Amino acid sequence: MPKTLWFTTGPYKLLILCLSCCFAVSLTAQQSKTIDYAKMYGQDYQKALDFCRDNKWITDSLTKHDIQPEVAMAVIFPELIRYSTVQDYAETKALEVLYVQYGKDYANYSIGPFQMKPSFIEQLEKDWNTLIPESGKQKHGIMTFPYPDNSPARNKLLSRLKTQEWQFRYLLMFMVVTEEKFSPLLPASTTDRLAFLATAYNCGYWRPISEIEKNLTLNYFYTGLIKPALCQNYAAIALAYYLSGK
Amino acid sequence: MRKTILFSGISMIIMLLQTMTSLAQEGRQVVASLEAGETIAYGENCFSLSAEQQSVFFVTRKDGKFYIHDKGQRQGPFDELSEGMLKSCGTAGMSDCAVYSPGDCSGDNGYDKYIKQEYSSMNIVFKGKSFGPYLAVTQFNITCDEASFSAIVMTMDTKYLLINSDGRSVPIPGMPSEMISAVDGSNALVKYIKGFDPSDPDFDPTKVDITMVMKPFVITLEGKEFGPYEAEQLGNENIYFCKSGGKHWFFHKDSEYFRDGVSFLKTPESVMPCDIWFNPDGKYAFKEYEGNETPGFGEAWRIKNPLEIVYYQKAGKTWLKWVSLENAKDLVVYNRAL
Repeated sequence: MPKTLWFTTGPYKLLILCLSCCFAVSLTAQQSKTIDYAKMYGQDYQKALDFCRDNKWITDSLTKHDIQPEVAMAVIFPELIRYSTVQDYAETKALEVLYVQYGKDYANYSIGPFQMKPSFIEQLEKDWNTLIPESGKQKHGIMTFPYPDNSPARNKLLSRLKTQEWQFRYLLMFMVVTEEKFSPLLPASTTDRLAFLATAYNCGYWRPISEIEKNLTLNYFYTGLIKPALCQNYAAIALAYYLSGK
Repeated sequence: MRKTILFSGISMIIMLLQTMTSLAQEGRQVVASLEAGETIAYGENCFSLSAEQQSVFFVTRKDGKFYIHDKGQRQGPFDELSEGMLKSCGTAGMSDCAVYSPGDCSGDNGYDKYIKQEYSSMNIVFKGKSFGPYLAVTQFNITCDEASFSAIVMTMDTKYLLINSDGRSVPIPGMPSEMISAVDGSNALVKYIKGFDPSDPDFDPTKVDITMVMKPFVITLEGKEFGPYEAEQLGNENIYFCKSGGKHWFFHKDSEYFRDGVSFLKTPESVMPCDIWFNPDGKYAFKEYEGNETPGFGEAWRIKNPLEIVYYQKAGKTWLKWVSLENAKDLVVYNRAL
């Protein structure tokens, strides 16, 4: 029902949002060209590249579902870098226990190579249930999720999230759901669209579009467990990866 | 000043007494209670649970601020955390699985430290004693405290042996594939394949019965042979030493557990080797998580929703200590003998 709130905000607001979004994207694009992220993240960047190379099945599968694989992979590429850094240090078992016991308010942490949080998945599953028509669900082979908010359900969600197959499915769902939500507003150029989607993936695609657009220019991406003084722009890294493949 | 010193001294004595008492007693202790809206921060925690300490270290968040809980004291609020404010988890955070793996020890496996390469042979030099010469040392496992080792070696006349630092030596009647060892080095076992004799000068690889490859055997440091098994059943999560199980080895197939090769226990399917803690006498407790309960499974006691577990030996018993969050606010440390 509430497809997007900003549909009702009128054409002028829409125009302003699109213009400011383009301005933000151009700033991000500039960063993506001037900073050498491969050098900055060293081995972790290389491991992220290796992941993409070794998991060609993901790009093949995305193509089969009519999703541009180079865009989808660029969206999650910064997370692959982060995963390379933290996977040896993250103590996730305790967090799993807390999440299953008490829910996302007690342990909302990033899981797997695409660094997806349970709260993100809970929202994505809800939106999949409500926004995607039956034909779309059938096309992608992912049906409606039962959604009781209890421990067994959270346990099952975690089991899904911890597999690579479901990390891929959730990425696919993200691309389909955001297309459904934002399609009239998404910029026409691939790079601008990618910058927007990458930011939405990172900060929460369910947020108001104005907030996602504001986040486009913010630098809050970092790889370790502790936030450093200087952070990077998520969308700029995604764009740099995308452009390096062109 | 004097008062401060006196107070510090008394505090230290009380802490010491508390520690000693905590080691000797079974029990449940609430070590911290979270305030309304305060949650455990993810990524910053390892709880620093240890046999010696009853207190735990952890980080929480409330209204966007961080709080550090250490030794029963709550510090904060902090806008951000720095590396220096956190405790190093070391390998403690990896301790929730009951299956022992040499990789649980920090550092390398000791191969470069203890194996001395000569011109055409190898020796193991351990605590001033030399073992060898051998044609090769194909696997070397050292205990975490570096008190003992076990190894697969090939003798100068090309026979494979399973040896350990106590001086035990067991011929391996085939081609070894992998060795696993007990936590304290008191036992080890080797998976091997029969029908391969590298010392036989007439050995013809083309005449090897390939079905033997799929039927591995096991031999232990006690010289006992077991098998054949199905190759896919001998993964490291199915045949293992339990961290708290002493010299006894376990084999897990479907929902059945074998102890030293003998059928021993049947469990619900959801109970995996990582979840069951055995003591050297075969008594056990198992982990149970909310949403995945196993009602009616024997009389063994449950370790409910553990965030972290440590085990230790004290007064001839195996003890487990774990921390759980109860009622969404109480951080509770349990201490119980197996």
